[in-house]
Amino acid sequence: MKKIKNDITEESAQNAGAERFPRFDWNARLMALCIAFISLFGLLIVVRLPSPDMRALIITIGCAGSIYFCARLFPRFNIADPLTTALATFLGSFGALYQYSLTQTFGGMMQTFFYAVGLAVFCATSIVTRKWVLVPGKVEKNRLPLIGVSAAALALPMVMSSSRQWIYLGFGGLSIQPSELVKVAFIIILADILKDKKLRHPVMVSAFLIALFVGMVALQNDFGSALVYYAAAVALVFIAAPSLRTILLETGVSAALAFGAYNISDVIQKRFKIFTTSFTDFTKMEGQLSSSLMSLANGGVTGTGLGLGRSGTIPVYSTDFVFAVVCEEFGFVFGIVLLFMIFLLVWQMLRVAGRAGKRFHAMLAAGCAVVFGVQAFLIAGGVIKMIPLTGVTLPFISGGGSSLVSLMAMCGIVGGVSMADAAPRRARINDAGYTIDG
Amino acid sequence: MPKELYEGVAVGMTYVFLALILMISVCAVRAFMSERASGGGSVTDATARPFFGLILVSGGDAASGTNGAAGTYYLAEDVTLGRSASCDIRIKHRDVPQQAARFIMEDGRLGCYPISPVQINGEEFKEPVFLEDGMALRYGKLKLTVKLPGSRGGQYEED
Repeated sequence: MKKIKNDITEESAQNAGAERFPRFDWNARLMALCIAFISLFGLLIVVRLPSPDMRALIITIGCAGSIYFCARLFPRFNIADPLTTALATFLGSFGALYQYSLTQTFGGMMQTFFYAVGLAVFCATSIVTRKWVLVPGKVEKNRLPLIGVSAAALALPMVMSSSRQWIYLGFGGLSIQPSELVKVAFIIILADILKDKKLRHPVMVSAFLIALFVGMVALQNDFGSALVYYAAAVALVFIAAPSLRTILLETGVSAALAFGAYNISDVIQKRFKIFTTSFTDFTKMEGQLSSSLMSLANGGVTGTGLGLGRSGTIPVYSTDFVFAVVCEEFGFVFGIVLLFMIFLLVWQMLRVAGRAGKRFHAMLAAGCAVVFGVQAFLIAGGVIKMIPLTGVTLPFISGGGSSLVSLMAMCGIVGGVSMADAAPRRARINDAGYTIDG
Repeated sequence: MPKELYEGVAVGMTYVFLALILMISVCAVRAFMSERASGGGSVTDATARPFFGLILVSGGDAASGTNGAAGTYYLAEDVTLGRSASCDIRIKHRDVPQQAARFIMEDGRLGCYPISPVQINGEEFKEPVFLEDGMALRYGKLKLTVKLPGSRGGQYEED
């Protein structure tokens, strides 16, 4: 047996160690801090009323547990992107607790219920993505049924109910918004169409699909969602054919569409009018925006404290204007950090897309990232009166079950994509060849 | 809690929340920059990394159902090996310590930094050692053979 020559001296080992060995697991710290934040935040809600609020205690324990579950226990079965998981569960827990603290009724607990559903969907999609969506040919075979079901789901509220955006379920005043849920399917369908080299008229087919889905959402007077759909489509088309011609084409089409939509729809014109006259008319919609700005000013740098803001003065404080309410109660520095975390989430998703092995994978991850980014930009910009207000949800924080579930599903998709593309590191190789052991 | 007391606490807590969320975002940025995966497996850039070598795991006993650890694992520039979920190369076998060793590629040579004592070619090592192609690390019944590129005519090229 050959004697091993050990030529690493103690000094060189120390030099190597000083630089590399105390390597911290930042994800573990992130998880611990998130749990600490959620626990403290929940305890403050528990002690807010004269007698301890047991429902808040249950929600707090559940939310803190959800972060631990997703960051530590679930990866034993299926590994998703750790940073995406941590940020999504933290923001989701924060949203669930905050929605409860805004109303402190049974209705406020619905967000927690949908967060729990979202967690299940997150776990399911990250497995389904890896085992089914990313397997070549699986989506392709079921392309037509997928398009049919999605389009039918979008058409359902228009024929079923008067409000045109929601489907009211029979029990508990629950309603679901199909346009939020179909977002996920839309990204998968479009990515599948655009990756297909054999398709005879890929431009025509994808343009038809984009027009179909965006048009149906716009017909529901949900222009915010239509814009999100359109932005995702623009990103996917660009990834499918990255060239200067695509950029010029997309810019031209977008400008034409924006001009046309502004002239046709009186809803959009009204939004622009509100944007310009928010401080001259304090009734109705104009009052929303001015009271939102008043809230931001009232909060200042450090905020008024949990539950001490004037959230009641803003009409839709739990959904559209939740960012203003958060900024009022915790200060605008907190709001900026919250937006930064969403930004980091988007960046991480784009990075997953950037290192994906296949274009289809990249399109899935980038589509999800764009949906997050555009939604956060539209609503945060609208609330601080940077752009005209559109009614989309602030990812994870706004109340709204359908939105939360679809956002968690997108995080699951990104997790699945990141795992599929990291698989070679964990691959086992037989002498005969490669077998991926995910 | 009485209302006046709660108001004082809530205002004070905004600073705590602010500090905590700042710390969370700093941690998130550091996690983003370090790309270190927690909870098993390494979700790192697989395609961009050059190929460094392989570890062939053999042995284990079929009777206790632990021979599933046998297989081939990629070596990267800097990987940790062990039974713990936080290791880059995770070998689920009772004989492997939670944190077994760390492998670092330095100037084309593979340095092994044992975290737990390890038998290499029959010798017990606690201190760092350079590994060469064909050397075997032994943890109980498991044998971990190191395969480095160049020695076998480029047989183990990356896919």
